Amino acid sequence: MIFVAKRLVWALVVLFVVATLTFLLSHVVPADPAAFLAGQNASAESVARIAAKYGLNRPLGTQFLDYIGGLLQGDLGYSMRTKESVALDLIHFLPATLELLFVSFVTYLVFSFGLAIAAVRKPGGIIDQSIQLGTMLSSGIPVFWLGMALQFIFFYKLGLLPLSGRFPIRETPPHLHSGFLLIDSLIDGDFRDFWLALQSLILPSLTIVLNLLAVGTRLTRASLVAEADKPYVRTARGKGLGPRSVLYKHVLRNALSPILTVTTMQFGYMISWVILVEVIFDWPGIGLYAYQSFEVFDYQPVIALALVSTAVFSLINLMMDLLYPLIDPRVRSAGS
Amino acid sequence: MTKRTILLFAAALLTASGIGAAHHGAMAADKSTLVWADAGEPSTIDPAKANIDWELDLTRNIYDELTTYAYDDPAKILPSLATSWTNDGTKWTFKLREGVTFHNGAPFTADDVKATIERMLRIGQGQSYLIKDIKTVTVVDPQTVVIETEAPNVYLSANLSHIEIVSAADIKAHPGESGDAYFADHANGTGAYKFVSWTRGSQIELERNAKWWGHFAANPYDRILDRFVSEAANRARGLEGGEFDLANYVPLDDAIRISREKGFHAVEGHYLWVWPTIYLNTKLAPTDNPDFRAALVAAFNYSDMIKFSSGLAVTPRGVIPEWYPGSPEKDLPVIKQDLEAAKAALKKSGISNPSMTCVIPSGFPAFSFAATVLQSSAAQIGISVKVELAPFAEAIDAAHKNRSNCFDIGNANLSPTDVTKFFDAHYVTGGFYNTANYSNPEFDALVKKISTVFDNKQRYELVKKAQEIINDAHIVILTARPTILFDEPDHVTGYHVNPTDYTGVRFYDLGAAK
Repeated sequence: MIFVAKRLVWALVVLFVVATLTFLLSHVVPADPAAFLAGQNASAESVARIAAKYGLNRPLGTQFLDYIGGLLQGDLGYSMRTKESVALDLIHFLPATLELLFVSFVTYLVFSFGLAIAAVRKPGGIIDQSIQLGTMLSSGIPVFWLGMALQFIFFYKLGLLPLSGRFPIRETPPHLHSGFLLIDSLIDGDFRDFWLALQSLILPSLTIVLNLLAVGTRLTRASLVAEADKPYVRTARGKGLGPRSVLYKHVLRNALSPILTVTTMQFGYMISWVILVEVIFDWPGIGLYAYQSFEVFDYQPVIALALVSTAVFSLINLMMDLLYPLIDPRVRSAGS
Repeated sequence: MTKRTILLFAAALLTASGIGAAHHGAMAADKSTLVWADAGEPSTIDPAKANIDWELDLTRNIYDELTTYAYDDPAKILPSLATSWTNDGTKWTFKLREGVTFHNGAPFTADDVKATIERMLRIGQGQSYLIKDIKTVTVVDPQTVVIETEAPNVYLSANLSHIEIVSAADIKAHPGESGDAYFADHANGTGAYKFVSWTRGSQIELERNAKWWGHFAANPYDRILDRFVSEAANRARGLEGGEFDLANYVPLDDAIRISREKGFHAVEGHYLWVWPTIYLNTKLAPTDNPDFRAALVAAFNYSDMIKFSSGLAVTPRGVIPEWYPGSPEKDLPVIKQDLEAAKAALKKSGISNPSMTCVIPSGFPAFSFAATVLQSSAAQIGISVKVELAPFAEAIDAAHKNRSNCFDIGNANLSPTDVTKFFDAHYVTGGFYNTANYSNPEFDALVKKISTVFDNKQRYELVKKAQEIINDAHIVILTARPTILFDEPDHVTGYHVNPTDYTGVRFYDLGAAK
């Protein structure tokens, strides 16, 4: 419990530092958001009124203290672009991002483990080498290019998958219950909607996953190979255990700790990639929301994105730390 | 494991492809819905604040204006919500169309005109600059309204063609600054299409107003999906792949390629913009020196810009296109690269080892290209130009606050006949886009006078003089005036490039091909 409390306090400190840095960085950029918001040909009075309305004419220190004060009360600010509170916007846009992240993460785990296990069956063999080459190639391609290439192949050339967006344009999306279209379509019992939502997720998820797959697969493979060489594995084999039992019951479990560490880091990368991928695929999540806000110097959504990303990442880190003792008795005993 | 995984993957792909094929088939069969891919999501659909293309594309179709204009001749101002009008000095009397109703069923009357104009002038944003000289609006009877301007304004009836009329009852129900927020995402117009829903981050849905007083094209679309597609490559690809029926701002090279594909044809049209225009800062050395600026204008390689537009552009002589009513273009001297004149002007400026910095808005390939052309052209006469890319708001701030010697944007106007609007925002003292920081009281007074002159010939001379002042001051490099090439699939008919909007679309002109 003390460990969890300490981690939570640190997470709050990190959030404060992130809020301060992003606030300062976004405000030192020399630009006049009020003039931009008022638009071309707006009267000077109109620009001044907008600056006063959003408090942009106050000293930076006052703006900062007000913002931090609001944050402490759970107020993430107001978006000048969408004319909504940032909290409400996040409630609207966050499910799309979380759904994309969740599907990508699961896909990543399935592929990185699946490929690594396939590779270690015969290290150095043709399958192993092909997997290593394929994953290296996919991770070497820039994300934006990879996304566009996938769109070109699967939408334009093959007509298999939608180009962009969260649901096919001319179809009526499921009623929103949770904001997660996969879950909402299942709540409605509409499996067609489920598949339509899922197929919209395929290309953006693949773009994220393919880019991260090399590190995940190679590290998982390396951990498994290293573990498979240890004496207890040879003993297990000598006792007549089959290769499947050796791999899944012994090798995999003992190799999980370093894999978990890298997976956590990969999730952090995933959060940063999701912004770019949302822009490429017009995915209506917080990444696209923050990007469009940044374009018009609407600061508070950008800061909110940084805070949410940090919070999610901190939470995942904490969860992983709590998982270590469960999967590795050595950590448990060292802790006790 | 491997075999099972392969089988599962194959099954998933087959399922996805089955649904995908059904989805594409459904699109082709759907002739009642039009998907319009626009380059961004509106921040508002309030006609008093709408200012960007993807906002105006909606307000122009949901609401009506008092007047309208012919696409092939914007000088022809036509009846819309007003059926006729007369002018007597500063006083304009408009007779309004009878039997028009708002989408909620309330009748349209003169009260709506008065409330709309007064609200626009109070807010002072969007297109209010087109009517900023209106002094009073008086309701004579439900079908007659009198508008009085501060000075005689020959362009008022034309400028009203871009002022969308909102319901007075709605304005009364949502008064003042706090009430303004209501109109950002609620719309009740008299126009051809009704606002249905706004899915944030994705699309806005409109439905056809079957009771509209105007005329729809044959086989009009009952449903419009205004899709927000910020990536230009996606708009091009989606148009080609049939995901979108029409797409705005498709990059020119893609537009040319798509227009040659089977199933598409090109719609070409006039475009108001001089795009991109490079403004030279008159308040920051070395561009504060008129001869130095003259050297840059003469050194610029205009033919590179024509090549950049694949030949679909001309080099302007002034900011007002030759086809625009009252344009002095044909009487202005041709602008072209002249390196000898540039060298002479540079020598006359007395500036040695010159260097300058240009902060250019990022995200616009034409701007970056024009800046590069300026850089290479200037280098030919020994001027070093450092180009920095920055987000739009930062770049314009750098120009306003004298941290940049030049700025890059278009020079546009949303009025069908009011030439002064080409000058107001860009060259008149204090204009938002006056990024040359130019200030000339004589020019300001001249621009103010133009709209008060009702004699066409006299007015023409004033416009020509105003343009000559701009050209002689060497504060802009009018790099190119591109032609719009718009790809229309063969299953859609009726798209025209709107000559007095950014690009614009009238959904009621569109129909499904038989």
